[in-house]
Amino acid sequence: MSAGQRGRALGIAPAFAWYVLLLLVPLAYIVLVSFCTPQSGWGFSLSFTLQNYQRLFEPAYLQVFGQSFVVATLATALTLLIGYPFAYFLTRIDHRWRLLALVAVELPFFVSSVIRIYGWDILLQSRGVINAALLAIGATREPLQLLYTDGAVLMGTIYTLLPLMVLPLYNSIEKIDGSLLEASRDLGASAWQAFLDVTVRNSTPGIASGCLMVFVPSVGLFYVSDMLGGSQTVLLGNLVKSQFVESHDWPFGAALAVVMTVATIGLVALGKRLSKSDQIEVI
Amino acid sequence: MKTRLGTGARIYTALLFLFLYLPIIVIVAYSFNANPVSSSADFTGFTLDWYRQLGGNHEISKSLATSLTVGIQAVAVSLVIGIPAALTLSRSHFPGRRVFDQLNLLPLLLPEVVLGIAFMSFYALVGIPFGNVSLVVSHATFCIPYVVILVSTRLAGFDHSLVEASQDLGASPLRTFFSIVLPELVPAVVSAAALGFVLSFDDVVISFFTAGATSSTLPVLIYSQVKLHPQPTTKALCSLLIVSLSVAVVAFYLIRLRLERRARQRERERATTQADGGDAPQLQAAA
Repeated sequence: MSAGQRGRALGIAPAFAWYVLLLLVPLAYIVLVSFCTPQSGWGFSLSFTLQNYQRLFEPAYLQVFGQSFVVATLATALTLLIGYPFAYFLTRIDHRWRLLALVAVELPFFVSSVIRIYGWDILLQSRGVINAALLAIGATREPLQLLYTDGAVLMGTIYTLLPLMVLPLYNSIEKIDGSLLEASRDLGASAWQAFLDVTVRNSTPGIASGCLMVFVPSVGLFYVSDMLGGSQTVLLGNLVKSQFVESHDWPFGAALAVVMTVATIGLVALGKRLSKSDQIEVI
Repeated sequence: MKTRLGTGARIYTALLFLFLYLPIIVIVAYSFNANPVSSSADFTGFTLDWYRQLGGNHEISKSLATSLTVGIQAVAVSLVIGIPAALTLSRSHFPGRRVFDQLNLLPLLLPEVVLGIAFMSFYALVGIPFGNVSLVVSHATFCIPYVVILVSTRLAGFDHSLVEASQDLGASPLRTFFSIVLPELVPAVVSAAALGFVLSFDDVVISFFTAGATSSTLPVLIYSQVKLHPQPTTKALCSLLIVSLSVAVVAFYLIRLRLERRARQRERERATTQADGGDAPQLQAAA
């Protein structure tokens, strides 16, 4: 390495230091806390214990894990199902309108998600817009209980994360060489077959990163279940949050966070392997 | 490729756009509703009262000030830290590069709740004061990766022989940076700064944990208002944010389009000048 190269490499030093001191060390601290003994009321002592991890297997918490997993899996599957045709149609829009359409997909994403979820709160209330519409067309006689249900939480999660599915899908579908489709049709494939063989197969990197971008955050969006789910829907994010701000059992909350982190890293590794690509698109 | 969408596809696309925009439209519409019962969908008349009441609300103006200053400061910090890192990444291989790439993705991949509680407990441990400082530090941590990614991607297509040429012609490194490298970076830096500001301004989860007991950002304030006691003014506040952010995003896209067009034009001009010189075939090819 020449002196010039060494000088240039210095540019990375502040970022490296920032990540180590303000990202890795805090995460390591959480790992440490997860092995500490909680004290009654508030705080914890530094004596080593595994009890925070053992508590994860209590039925009440296993249920939270189960519920979070179901919500995350359903949310991922449904956003993929809803988002794929959408992304596909977006790639076929006339060039002049395409940029506009993409901005239109991203725009809601730039409005804070609490605001958008609040909009659903207004829509779903028992005397809200959707119930008023249903009553008006005679689809129902009584207002339906839409808000504070598991369905509302699932919908809010899908709604919040849909752009994160659509954008990677759009990027990878758009890259597909159109002549491949023509070749497939020339060789006698039906339009549907060509779509499955060429388009879907060649967009697996987009599918993998889209699923990852939806699955990982979906268990942590505590404000969605707080605002749309009422008190009975407790997901992992809510549980972690309540350990840190309400019941002040940091060691148990830390153990939950460690499990989430390990699961996330495992899923990312799996996603990379499945998509056979080193790059997971994040934007 | 010019393809017309079938009717089914058009309806589907339109329905999804409706799904994306419905809650936003509803908030803006209901912010003009005179009905003070915020849980009711009955539209009892048009009013601007809720907007008038916003102005005198101390809590809201304080949170707005916090959100704005934190956004600007977090972006400034992330540019100062991120741009040199991106410059390094684009042109030298150094030991630990793969480690850095992984570290850079970490803030984007981990669930925000995990980051939020880790930051909160660590700041409490080492005594980083809660409020503006903790918010700026935590927001910069999730903005730096975007700066690094956007700026280094932009630089990946940059022709480094231009730098050498500039230095061979006697320009100082500083002059080279400002007249050759910086203009190339402007679109990426503008994008990164805008994206970072919006992400900071919108963030709920991480701010919820790092704001501390005495300060609050706008999204955190809205979250607690909606959860505890939604007021009619909340809708007016949300609508104002929706409108101003939409205008900002659209303006940003227009600016970016313009910058990109200008960059392309510069490249073309450079190619023509080189062609006039006649003896730089590989430079021409690169341009």
